[in-house]
Amino acid sequence: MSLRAALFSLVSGGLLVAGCSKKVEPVVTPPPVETTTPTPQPPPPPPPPPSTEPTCEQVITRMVSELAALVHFDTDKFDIRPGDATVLDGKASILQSHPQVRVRITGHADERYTAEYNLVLGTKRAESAKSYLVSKGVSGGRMETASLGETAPLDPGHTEAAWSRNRRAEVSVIAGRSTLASHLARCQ
Amino acid sequence: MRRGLLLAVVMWFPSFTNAAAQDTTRAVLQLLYDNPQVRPTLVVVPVAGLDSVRTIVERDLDQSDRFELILLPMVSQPIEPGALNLAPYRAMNAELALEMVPAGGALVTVRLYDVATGLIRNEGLMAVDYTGTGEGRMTIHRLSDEVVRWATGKVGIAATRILYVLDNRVWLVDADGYGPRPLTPAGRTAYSPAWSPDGRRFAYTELADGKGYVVLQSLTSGNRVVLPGTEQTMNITPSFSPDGTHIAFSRVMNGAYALHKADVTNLCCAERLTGGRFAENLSPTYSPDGRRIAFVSTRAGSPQIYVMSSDGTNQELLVPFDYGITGASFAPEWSPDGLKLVFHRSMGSGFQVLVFDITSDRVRQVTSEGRNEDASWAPDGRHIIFTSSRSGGRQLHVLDLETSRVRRIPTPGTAQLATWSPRLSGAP
Repeated sequence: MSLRAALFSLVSGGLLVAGCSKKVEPVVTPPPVETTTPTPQPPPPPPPPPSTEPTCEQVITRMVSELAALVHFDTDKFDIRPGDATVLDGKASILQSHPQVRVRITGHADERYTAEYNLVLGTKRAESAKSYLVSKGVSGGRMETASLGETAPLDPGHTEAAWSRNRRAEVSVIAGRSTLASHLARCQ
Repeated sequence: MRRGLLLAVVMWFPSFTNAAAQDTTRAVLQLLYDNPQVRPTLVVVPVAGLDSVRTIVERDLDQSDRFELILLPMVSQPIEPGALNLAPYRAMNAELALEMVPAGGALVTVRLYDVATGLIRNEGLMAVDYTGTGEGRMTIHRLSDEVVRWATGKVGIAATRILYVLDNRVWLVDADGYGPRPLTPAGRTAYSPAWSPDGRRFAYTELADGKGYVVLQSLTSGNRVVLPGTEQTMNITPSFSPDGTHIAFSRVMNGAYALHKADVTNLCCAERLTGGRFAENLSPTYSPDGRRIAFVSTRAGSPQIYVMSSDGTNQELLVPFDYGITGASFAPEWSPDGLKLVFHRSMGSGFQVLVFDITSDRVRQVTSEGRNEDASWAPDGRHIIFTSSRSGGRQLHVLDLETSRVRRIPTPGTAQLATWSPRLSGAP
């Protein structure tokens, strides 16, 4: 019998007692259950062990940042490179085990290609990442795509290194963030 | 060489009787002025009290690239009564002299002389704002454009403005580089501005919340309204129809960009123009008669320039290319006379601006220095503005396709996606 059921029967008993004395003037004293009955107190939640077990919020934050890990692309390309497929595999498993999470995948381009077509390139990169996740079993309906083209560079530099950082897809959580720790019983 | 030819023609005429010489000279000069390669020398006569107006007019006429300006010092002379003495200007080899005389209030009498003959080619009374600041400058620019029309019979471009993107905001600047100012709010990403044909508002794409909205903004009130039907997904590269009733744009459908058009007058009813899940279609531009739309499509792999009827039928290749050889081509804009398109293409030297002649089916590369892209026609059909890296960073440059003269439009930072207004008839 669970603790909750035990408490319920005790409360019911108290009400039953009150029901028996219904011809008496209303009693204004607090219900006996809470004042007189020695109730077994539920054990206080154990303080989280400082280093070994993260809080639920810490778990959520870690999941969000793993989902946000950048996927990069070659110049003027939008196919998923093998190394980036691994990054997406990590996202796929998080999304599969947290079915209430919805994400937006935003594609970006570097400044070297032409401005307006960079919006298309960003969309193609986002769609490419989405297709990969769908191939790993994530429902397409949980993912929306967007593009910021070259308008939001991570690195404002004009070097090859800056450009390769800027050719990317970003995954952000747009719904169900609080369920990202639900795989842990203590965070449900 | 051309100068010498013109002078020789002029000097030959004194052998005729005076009146006949004047008529013939005028006819020959007109013929020569119609040749854009010949730029007549022009002097603006200094007049006391009109220095600021003269400075602006001189710059406008110079930037029309239709004259060789003879610039005189700013020491203005008192107005002498009677006819203008053209002898000093004849001595300077001026062929045209522009005289502006205050005529009371804001009015100015403007006269254009053929210096050789002493004849007044044209004369008119115009209202100008003498201060030459703010909106008042447009009254002076209109005067300049009228002088261009007198001298050449062609449309001037002084009374025009340019929209461009700087720091993810749409900015407005006069065509002579005066008064750059942001129009869209800070902190919101604005892209791809497009003028309405009446010059009173513009459309642009706002990138926000994972969407691309097409926004219409009034230049008079500053009011902004999202084009209905563009609240979802990405909607990019808007472009007005020449009659101002529709906006064509590109929207993501099933993961690919497809061209649509929406009714601007009634603010409704986006209609799909191109199909296909596996090709991108974007950057629509209407022909001046409104019957056709040129656009970029990846239907053959590489992005190239196609054309269709404005209802979406009769889609076909417009600018020829060699499969696997010709570089990707982008951002077409139909010329005001409807006979050409300007666009940019990936070349060995990076992006370069090209002009496609519809009649001859040929392309001509018009830039080569640095990276050059996103060109837009001036309403005179001979100037284009485009983004160039030739002076470092992204800067706006104007090229005269007839003389190949180039000037930079100063902007407070790197700028791109410039688009030239139509002629602005009144205050916006």
